[in-house]
Amino acid sequence: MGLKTGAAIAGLLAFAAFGAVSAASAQDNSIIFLAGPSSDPFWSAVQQGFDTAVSELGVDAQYSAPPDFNDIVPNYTRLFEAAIGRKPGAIVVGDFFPDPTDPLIEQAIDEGIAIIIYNSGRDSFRKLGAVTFIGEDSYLMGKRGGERAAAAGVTNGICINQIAANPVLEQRCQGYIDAVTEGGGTAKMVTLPSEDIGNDQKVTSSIAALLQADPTIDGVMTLGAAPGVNAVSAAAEFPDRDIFLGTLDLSTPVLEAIKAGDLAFTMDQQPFLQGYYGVLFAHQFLEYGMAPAEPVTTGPLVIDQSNVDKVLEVGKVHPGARGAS
Amino acid sequence: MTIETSPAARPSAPGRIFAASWFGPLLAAILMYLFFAVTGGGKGFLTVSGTAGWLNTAAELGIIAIPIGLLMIAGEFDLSTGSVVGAASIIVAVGTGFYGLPIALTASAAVLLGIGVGSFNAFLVNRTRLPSFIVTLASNFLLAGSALGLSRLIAGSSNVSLKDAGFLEPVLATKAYGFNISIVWWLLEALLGIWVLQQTRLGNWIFATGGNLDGARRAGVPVSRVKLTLFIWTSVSAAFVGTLQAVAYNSGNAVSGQGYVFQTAIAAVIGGVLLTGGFGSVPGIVFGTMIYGIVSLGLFYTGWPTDWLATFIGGLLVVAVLTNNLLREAALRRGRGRS
Repeated sequence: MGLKTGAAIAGLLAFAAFGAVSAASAQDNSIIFLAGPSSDPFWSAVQQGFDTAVSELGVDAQYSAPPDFNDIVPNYTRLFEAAIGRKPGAIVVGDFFPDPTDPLIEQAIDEGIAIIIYNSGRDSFRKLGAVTFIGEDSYLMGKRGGERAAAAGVTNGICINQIAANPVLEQRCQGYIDAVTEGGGTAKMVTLPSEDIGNDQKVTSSIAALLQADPTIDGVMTLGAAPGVNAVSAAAEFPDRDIFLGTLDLSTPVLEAIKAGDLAFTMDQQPFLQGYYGVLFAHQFLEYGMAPAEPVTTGPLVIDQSNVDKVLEVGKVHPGARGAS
Repeated sequence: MTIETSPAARPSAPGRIFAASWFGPLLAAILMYLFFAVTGGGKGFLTVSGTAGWLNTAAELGIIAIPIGLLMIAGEFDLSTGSVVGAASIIVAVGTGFYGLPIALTASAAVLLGIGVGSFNAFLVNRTRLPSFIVTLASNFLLAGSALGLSRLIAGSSNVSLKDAGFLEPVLATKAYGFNISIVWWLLEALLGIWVLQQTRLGNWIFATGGNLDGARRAGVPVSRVKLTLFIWTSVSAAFVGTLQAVAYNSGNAVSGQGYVFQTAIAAVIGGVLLTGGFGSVPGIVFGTMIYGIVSLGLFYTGWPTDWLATFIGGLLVVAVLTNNLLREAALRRGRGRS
């Protein structure tokens, strides 16, 4: 059964890949937007920004994303190859995995396709010859979180990485670790199994186990909205300990935890703007040959008790525009 | 009912053979517990909150693993549970959290989804005789994509918050000393499963269907109905877990739950269920699920790098399957010797 099943699965995948590639139509002013998996609320917000820009500007653009985090590196690379094969006017691409992605960016530019890099790739976009860069600085994102933690007196912090081997998340954790270390404390990264993303019970229990196992832990940094809420539940099991919690990205439960004071802060890199500006800059470059002179930084915008109310209001009018609703 | 072809229904020493299907997992669960009690006990594995942690994790997995195990005893797989969990959680969250519909309505819709998916799986398997592995894999993808697409279309995000679940709040989200009420639901389902498998005609039919499908059919066992019942039970239990997660964690996520696709089957196999059907027990599945919970959380207490978690579970799976095989063969040999 194993072999037959394997063959059948391979057949299904090949069929799907063929479908994606064969739907080709070459147009000079078309834009292809390559994104991360829509299953992640972060990317839902990017897609909303994309959708809004497309309808406001009336451009010919297509959104292309892998379904989930499984085998994300090869899947994303294949999507990029397929996009180049269609010879659009511009490709908006996140340089999440520089090793396989950078050569493709150079190849696309050689073939006359304009490249806009967003989300990841701030350091290399000029060297690669991209039009511009929109996004955050992953390391800085973690570092800001670590600085806040250190200022609050955290001496033993953990950074929870929920997507094993993702370089962006590792950089963020590194930033956190460095900042806490510079503040005179220690910190380390803990990786959770990727298959358990979204299993709130398991993530909560795992963080609680870590806190239980080391009673000196006084700071937890999580790298997503759902793990942030899980960390709040886990820390609530130790009412007599003072644990400083911070996270990245937004959701209503995260914002409410900040309002209630359970979560110190979250950092927003404004994914909606990354989606919107990606389309906008590609369109303006193709149409007018214009582009921003400097990289456009959409984050981190730190959200804490001082500005959380405004963010909550926007979420009611435009659900999902800032991440999870 | 006499079905000579099914090992579990063999008249010789059925008690011993039944015991063989859960004694190994029980022993393994005790060994695993002792192992982490020694390596992680000093760091809190044995505390109340440590115990609550692995039991809570096991409970949600176990609620799906019990019917998955029964289905595997009947000779079929169900890989669609992951998507049902996510779809049910997003139905409840979008319906009640986003549109403000009554929770009774949206929770019923989640259960209906479970009945629908189970019926769809059973219909295809019964009609086409295709392996359930492929049929349910397809429905897993079909449903995962639809749930994601619809939730993005309706709510603009794959993740929707659910603040107040009304009367379901105490039923699904009660917590006492860190222990979730899901543990109670898990044990109730285990009792139901034990009763069905050991005391009812359906239980005999399940063993017969998985032990020898053609023989069972010739003996007059309504195999299609057995499979329909089990596929629906499995999907409804997955919908239950999805609803429970949405209520307990105040948000629904269209793509959560994919971890259950293989974890439930792993728990059943560690719990002594024979992958080819016809053999297994509910207590065994419960112990198998406990082992999974103990190992996946116990490692955090040891202080060892958690990168090795999957390696641990893989090794455990191999050892469990080999041990279960030995125990089963030994029991069957001795059973035969007596008769």
